[in-house]
This record gives sequence, structure tokens and C-alpha cells, in this order.
Amino acid sequence: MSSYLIRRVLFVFVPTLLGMSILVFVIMHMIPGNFVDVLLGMGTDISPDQVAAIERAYGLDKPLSVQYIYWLGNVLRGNFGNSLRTGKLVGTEILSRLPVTLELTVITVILTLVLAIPTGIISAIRRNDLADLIARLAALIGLSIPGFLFGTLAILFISLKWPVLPTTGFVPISEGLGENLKSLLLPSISLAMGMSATVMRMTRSSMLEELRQEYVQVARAKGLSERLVILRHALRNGLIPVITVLGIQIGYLLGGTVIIEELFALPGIGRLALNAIYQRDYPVVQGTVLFISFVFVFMNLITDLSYSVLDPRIQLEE
Amino acid sequence: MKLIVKKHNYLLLALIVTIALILVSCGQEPVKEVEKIKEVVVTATPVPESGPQAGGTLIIGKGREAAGLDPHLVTSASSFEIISQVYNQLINLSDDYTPIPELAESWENPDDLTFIFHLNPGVLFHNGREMVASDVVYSFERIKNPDTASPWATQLDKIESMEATDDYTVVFHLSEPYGAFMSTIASTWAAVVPQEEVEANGDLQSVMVGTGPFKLEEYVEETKTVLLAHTDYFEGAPMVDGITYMIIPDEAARIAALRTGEIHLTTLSDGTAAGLAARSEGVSVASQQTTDYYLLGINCAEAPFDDVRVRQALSLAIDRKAVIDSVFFGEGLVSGPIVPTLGEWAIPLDKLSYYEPDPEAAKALLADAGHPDGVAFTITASPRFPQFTSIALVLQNQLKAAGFEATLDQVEWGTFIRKWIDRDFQTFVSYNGSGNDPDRALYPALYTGGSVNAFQFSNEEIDSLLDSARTTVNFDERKAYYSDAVIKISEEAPMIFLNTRTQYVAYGDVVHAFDLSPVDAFRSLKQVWLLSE
Amino acid sequence: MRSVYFLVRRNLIGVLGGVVVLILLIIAIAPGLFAPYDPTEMVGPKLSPPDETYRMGTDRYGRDIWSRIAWGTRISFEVGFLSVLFAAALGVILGIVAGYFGGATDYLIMRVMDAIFAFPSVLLAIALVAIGGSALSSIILAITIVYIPIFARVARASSLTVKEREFVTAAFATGVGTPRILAVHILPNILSPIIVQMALRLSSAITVEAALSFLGLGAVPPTPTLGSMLSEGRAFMEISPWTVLYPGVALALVILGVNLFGDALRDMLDPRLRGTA
Repeated sequence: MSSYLIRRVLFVFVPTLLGMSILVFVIMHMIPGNFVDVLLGMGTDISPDQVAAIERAYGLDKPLSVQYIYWLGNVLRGNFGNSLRTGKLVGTEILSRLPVTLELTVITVILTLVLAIPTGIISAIRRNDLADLIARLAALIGLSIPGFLFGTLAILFISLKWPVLPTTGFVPISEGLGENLKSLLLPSISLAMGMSATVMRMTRSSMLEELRQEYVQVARAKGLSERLVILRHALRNGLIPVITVLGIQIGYLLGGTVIIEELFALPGIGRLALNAIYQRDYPVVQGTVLFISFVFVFMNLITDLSYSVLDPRIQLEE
Repeated sequence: MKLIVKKHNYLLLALIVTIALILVSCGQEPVKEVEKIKEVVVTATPVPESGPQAGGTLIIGKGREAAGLDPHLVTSASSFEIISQVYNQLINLSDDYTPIPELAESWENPDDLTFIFHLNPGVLFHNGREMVASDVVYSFERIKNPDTASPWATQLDKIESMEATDDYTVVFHLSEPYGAFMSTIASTWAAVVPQEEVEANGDLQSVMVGTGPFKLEEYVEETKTVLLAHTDYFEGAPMVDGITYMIIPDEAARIAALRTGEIHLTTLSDGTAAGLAARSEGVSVASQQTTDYYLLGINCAEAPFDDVRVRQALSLAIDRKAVIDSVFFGEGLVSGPIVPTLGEWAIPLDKLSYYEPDPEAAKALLADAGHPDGVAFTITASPRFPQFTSIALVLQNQLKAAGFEATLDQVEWGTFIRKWIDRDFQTFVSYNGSGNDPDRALYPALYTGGSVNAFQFSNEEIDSLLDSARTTVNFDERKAYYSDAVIKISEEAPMIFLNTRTQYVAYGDVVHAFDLSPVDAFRSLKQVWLLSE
Repeated sequence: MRSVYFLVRRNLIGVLGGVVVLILLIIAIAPGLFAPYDPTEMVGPKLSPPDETYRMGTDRYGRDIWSRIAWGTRISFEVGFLSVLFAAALGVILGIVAGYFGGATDYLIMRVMDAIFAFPSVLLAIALVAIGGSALSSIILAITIVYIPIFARVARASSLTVKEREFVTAAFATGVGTPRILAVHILPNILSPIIVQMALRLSSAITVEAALSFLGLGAVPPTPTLGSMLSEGRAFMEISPWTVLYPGVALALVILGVNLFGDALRDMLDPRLRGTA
């Protein structure tokens, strides 16, 4: 297992992130308009010489390959560079935004677990019952309403009819947990809709699969109560693929909060990355995208590992 | 077992009912009585009998974070909105664009090349030190210094030298007569800053130390900016204890926050939003026409628009009033080369050529220019400013009647700027600021090789008129030059001047004594007071 | 008759979905038959509420919302189908090549795929559209690139198993050229998981397009897309909710239909999972 881990990190994890960083770098520099253009905007009285001087000051005059190697060298020494716009360390920028995205993710995951797993189990047990039908329909609807659409309609509804929740902005925990949670409730629900639909469907199909297995039949035959059969046997194995899906979904979530953060004006990682793309703040884009990808790849790795821990029958192999 | 399932069934049911309720209640909306987009009603909040109250924190919803805080280095309105509360200039302009005292209590103008300013004594910087004449000299030297790389440096080209003859007297010597001198130094960027703070911090991008009515307390990126009252302000302490700017990019979200009282005041981008805000309980909207104007920029260096007749046809094919109606729901004034809002400087529209919409005449001009089948071209716009896209769409629709076939090219903002710099467009939608003087409005945009002359427009007659106006100090003589220039510009149509930009500020009914000023929208914040519940 | 009833009862959701998909597809194939007006023409009064003339009301420019939705549905499908199709084609080629040749080729291709896959998809699409501009073609290209790795992975995994089968080794032994083995023997055998994957990714491709439009980075106006209608309508939603509500419902229906279609296709082609979702 540990040799697998080392191989996986060395030959997959690291090269993926390296490739990613080259990809971000190339793509960002292919977008027309550079940092200085956006900084100066239109119509300022600056001579081409002055523009060149500013580009030199930000190191943007060097060939791309040199810029990349310079950046990579710094990253290997643990320095992700400074934001061109604010001059602050990229690491500091990410850390200051992380709590918002992290909190959003945690609340979303909790909502998902509470909503999806019981529903999925019931749906499997009462297959083709009315409850199952309704749950499946609800899951389909949840899957079919993109988070930004749900968020938009929720803002419309809340601000018109039920102004108890703030429709925008972020209240830090330091200003009270209640207010803080309130400010994240709508965005979390918007994100949890699709996610819980996916998780519910996975729970259902995996539970159905398990309930068909021989050992469940045997357990039933032994005269164990249905409740025990489900809770002690089917659920344990049935939740393994659910955890996989959940892990991958959490990985997606960090990158997927961009639009929701933008819609609800939450100062999270996604918006940091989005604005950095708009402003061509190259080091910030590099840093945030690398961070999001790192979490994504890491979550996949963890998921794989937990898979083998939960189910010893599964051998890890590349 | 059964029991558990039952319980969860209720949960499920509750969930479904909630979703259904949300959908149903939203779904009922369309059949409700429809309100038309009306002109914005400005309702003044009644002054309570108790009279003005001091104290409280004014919370302002800000759409865009300040892009830097150094008055000498920044260019964006999002920065100046805060800077104007923290810094002062030597002088300011009244609402009809005439000079009024600020840090200078009076001035003399012994000849066209000399200006002597007498400073108010006892003005304190936020660090406690008294502001004196050498600070004024330092500040202007800093802007002019090439090492500062100030985008405003060229505006001060005409200043040859400055001297502080004593602590409260500054003398400016100009190299040649400069008609726009007073309005130039009245600009917000011409702020007086303390030398020691610049030297201690490198620049003033993230610290603010001015002489203004408010001082910077806290700056939390992308979240908020907190200002506190400068109690030693030389014109008297502000009424409120402080101003907190909350960054809320989404406009609908700002309106919602205003309604729930989370914020007290916010700027709104257009009449739709303003109308929406004005209909809310306890919210008032103030609006005014700014000196900014929307425009359709034309690449005059390339076919087909290098032919003046094609540009004239474009000008004739466009119904500016209809643009105001469709895009801005009637809010805005048709603009000539000098905006009608620039006080005494405005030139009546009926003196201009090619301004009355006439698609048939436009067609004839096109045929005359060798395009009997019309002209196809692209309009470049950016979704960063949705109203640009709206203007482009409405123009596209209008232009069909005159035989113009316009296609939209929508690009991301950074790309838009790059295209603008490279002159890589046929036409584009944007807006220009006119500043506080016709020189600022016309010279950079239309003088041959001017800094914002993206149109690559060049006309000797117009250049010479703009030069003459620039070096003339007498108002009537200057205005005569501008009048000739404007008429000539309308004949040449280097860009389509569309209409003025309306500025909207919405505020809750706890806010009192707020007044929009055309020169500096938030000038009145030091007098604003909050009614405590 | 009884069996139809039985079918409907057993798979109510599936039948419902089939009907939704069918209606949407017909609209998407021939929006001109259903749309009374040109979707880009400013035909009526601004923000007029739904009535007999404008069944779903008009938007801020006086364009007929129903006509825009009809054409917008077409564009949603068009972008979705084309980008998934291109992504599948490119992904399959890369995946088969990687799976068949193995070794360094495999390693290199798959690491590039991993790198793209790890890039947050919305941000990647935004950056790519910023490079290519807001033409429909560049949006399709951006979404294609986002989804290539998924197909490459599936194709690689499937071709790895197919490669070991007898008929492939036999073909190799008789001296059949590599491209021919790939095209004739491996490709047809991995088609069914690819088609299932295409059906499942279609809805996310449509969602990404709508999200781009919603952020103002979608197709060039006045192109009617459901996402841009949503984002344009947002400023008016409190006074004219129909500007947001109808396009929103239409978008949800399109995605719902595509999801149902995907589920059905998966059940059909992947019997192992039949009836599990």
C-alpha cells in the first residue's frame, strides 16, 4: 500500500499538477490583453516607454519559458509569488479566501449527507413505491436545475416574498455564527441540490445492488430483522461507492463554486480565481488553479485509498 | 423499522412540498399586475423635527473594489469614490464648474502665467501634522516626476515651476497660458499628500493619509473598507462617525441589501435598477446626468469608415433619442462633442450637423460613397458593461434601415482593452469622461495623436481650434473656439456621440442631507447624517 | 393495452422523460415551426407580460421570449451535442492510442488528460472562451476540450480489456495493420460505454454553456441562448419575472430531458445497471 502510494504520488500526482501548471500558464498568456493593459485600461496618458517600464517591473517582458521556470523555481521553494495587483503573497491571498470556500463546502456536504443518504436508502428499500418514485423524481429535478439557476430563483423568491435570509454577501464568523450561517445558507442549498441528487442516486443504486447480494439473502434467511440486515450489512458495503462519489464531488465542489460565489458575492477561492483571470493577475491564477487542482487530485487519491480501507477485497493498482 | 421509514417519508414530503411551493409562488408572478418601467421618482425623505443627529456609521454598498488608493496613481472611479473622502485638493469646482476654495482659501492671478494660492492655516493631516505650502509643492512635483509614473503627469505639463514663498503661500508659474489650469488642479487626483507617508510606504496604494473629512481605518480586500471621521477636519467634523464600504458586485444583491437595511446607500448602474430600488419601501433614489457620454467609436483610418461620407451616414442613421429610450428607459440627454452637462460650456444641439435621424439621407450618402448595397461592419463590445452590449444591439437594429449590416463582436474586458490599444476594431461601444473642462473632453480624444484618440482621427482645422482654445484664458474667447470646433467635429463624425450617462444613487430613509453633486457625486457625505431608530 | 399500462406504471419517470425529450427535440429540430417571431427581432413593446400575442411575454428589447426559448433550446442542444461528439471523437482516438500502445505514449497522453481533467472546468472554459472570443464555435471548442479527458479515460480502460481478447490477438498475428486493428476491432467494441458516457455528459455540457452565457461569456448577442436570457432577465426579474422564469424552466426541462435520455440509454446499453437509478 505505501509503495503504491509513493508510485502514485511520484508518477501521477506530481506530473499531473506539473502539466496543469504549464497548461494554466500557456492558456493565461494566450488570452489577449495582459496585466498592464487591464491595469492601465483605456485612455491614460502613458507613453509606450512607460508601459514597457511597468512590464519590466512586473517581469512580464521576459520570454514565457523563462517566466515559467522562474515561477516553478519559486514554487519549489514554497513561494507562489506575489499578486501583481495587490502585491500580497499569493499564499496569503488564498489563505484569506479559503475559510469562505471551505465553510461553503462543509455546509454543502452536511446538507448533502442529511438529504441524500437517508433518501437514497429509503428509495432502495421501497423500490418502486410512491416514496421511491417521488424521491427519484426529486433527484432528477435536483440534477436538472443548475446551481446558478436555483440561486437566481431563490434570490427572486427570498427578496420578494420572504426577506428573512440575506441574499448576498458574506458575514464572517467573527460577527456571529448565526449571521455567518445565514449568509451561507442559500449558496449552500444551491450547491447541495445537484450534489445530493447525485449522491442520492448513487446511494440508491448501490443499496439495490447490495440488497441483491447473497450475503444479504443469507442474513435474511438466518432470521435477522430487516432493519438489522440493512443497517449492519447492506449499508456498510453499500456506502462504499457513495463515499467515492462524495469524494469526487467534494473535489469538484472547490472548482465548482465559482458561479455561486459570484452570484452571492462571497469572497471565496473561486471568485479570487475568476477575477484574477479577468485582471490577468498571472501569479494569482496560477496559484489558485493549482490549489484547486491539488485539492481535486488529492481528494481522488484519498477516495481511492479509503476505498481499499473500507473494502479489503479491492486491490489498489495503477 | 417501519417507524424510521415513516419519519423519513415526512421529511421527504416536506422537502418536496417546499420545492413545489417555491416553484408555485414564483410561477404565480407573471399574472400579477404589471408595473411599467417608469421614470425614477425622486422622493425626498422628510426631515424629522428633532433636527440633524450626529453619530452612527454610514454603510455604503460598493459594486467594485477600489483598484488602488494612491490619488496620484489610480485612474478608476472605484478608487476616487473613496479618495475624495480622504484627501483634499488646493481648490474645487462648484456645481456649475467655477473654482471654489478648498485647501486654498483664496488665490490671485496677476498674469496669465502666474497663480498665487493662499492656504487655510491649521489644516491637519490624519497623522496629526499640519499641512503647509511645501506639501502642495511636493504633491505636484510627485505627480510630475517621471519616476512616479503617474498617469496624470502630462496634465501638469504647463506647470513650469512652483514655490512655497511661506508656509501658507504657493506660487505656480506656467510655461504658456493654459485655459484649463484651474479645473485641472481641482481634479480629485491632484490631492495634497504628506511626503513622509509616501516615503515610509513606498506609495499610497494601500495606506491613506490625507487632510479630508474621513480617514482610513481598515481595508479588507474584496470585503470592505472602513473610514472613520477625521474629527479635526478643517471645515468641521463630519456628522457620522464613519463610513463603511461593503463590496457587493451584484447590483440586484445591492438593491436587496438596501431594502433589508444591510446597507444605507449605493450607486446603481442604470435606470432599471434605479426604478426597482425606487419602488421599494423606505428607499429613495437620486439621479443626475454626468459629464460622461456613451459613444460608438469609429476606426477612421480604415475602409469603409476612412470615408467621411460613410461616417456621416452612420451619424444620420442613428436615432440617439431612441437609444436613450430603449437602452436607458428614457434617462439621459443626447450629447454632442461637448456634453450638455458641462455647465456653461455646452453648445446647443441644433448647431450640429448630421444629428437629426434620417435613414434615407444616410442611404443616399452611402450610395454616393460607393456603397449602394450598404455596408457591413462589426461593433466590438464587452459584457463587463452590459449597457455597451445593449447599445450595440439597439444600434444594430436601427442601422438596418439605412443599409448598415452590423455584427456584434463581444469580447472579454481585457481583450477589449487590447483591441482598443491595437486599434483592432471597426467600431466599438464605450463611454468617455469629459472631466470638468472641454479641454479634457476634446483634446485627448480628438487631437491628432491624442492619448485616447483610438479613432486615429486627424483634422488640421480641429487641431488648431483645440490649440487656440487651450492657450486662451478668457472664457468667451475660449467658448467661441470650442463652438467652432464642435460644429466641425459633428461634420467629421469621428465617433458617434450618443448620450450622457445618468448616475443613480439609492439610499435608505435613515440617510439625510444626501445631495448628488455633478462635480463629485459624494461631496455631501460629510454633511450626511443618520436618523437613529 | 395491459402491457402498456404495466410499462407506464413500472417506469413512470422514464415514460414521462421520453415525452419531455421528444417534445424538446421536435422544438429544437424545427424551432421555426413553433416560434411565431424572429428571435432576434425587436417585435413588440418592451417587457410586455404574457398574453395571446406574446405567449411568454417580451424581454427588455421587445423580443418575443417564447421564440427566443424555442431557438435557444436548439442552441443548447446544438452546443451540447456537438461538443460532446467532438470530445468523444478526440477522446476516443487519444484513449485507444494510449490503451493500445501503452508505455510512454500511454503515460504522456494520460498525464495531459489528467492535467486538463484537474483544471476546474468552469474556469478552464472561461479562459478558453476568453482566448477564442464569444463565437458559438469557440464555445463548442472550449467545452470539447473540457470533456476530452473523460472520454479518453473510458476509451483507454475499455480498449485495455478489448486488446487482450482473442480476436484482437488473432488479427495481430495474421498481420493486420495497427490502424486497422484499432478501427475495425477495437473501436466497435468500446462504443457502448462511450455512448453511455456521451449521453451522461450531454447535460453537463449544456449546463456549462448556460453557465458561460450566464456570466456574459456565452454566444454573441443577439443569439438566443437560455443562459443569456436568464442573465439579461435578472435585472428585470422583480418587475417582469417572466423574463427569468420561462427561460429558467426551459433550461431545467432541457437538462431534465437529457438526463432522462441518458439514464434510459445507460439502462439499455449497460444492462448491469438496469433499473438501478
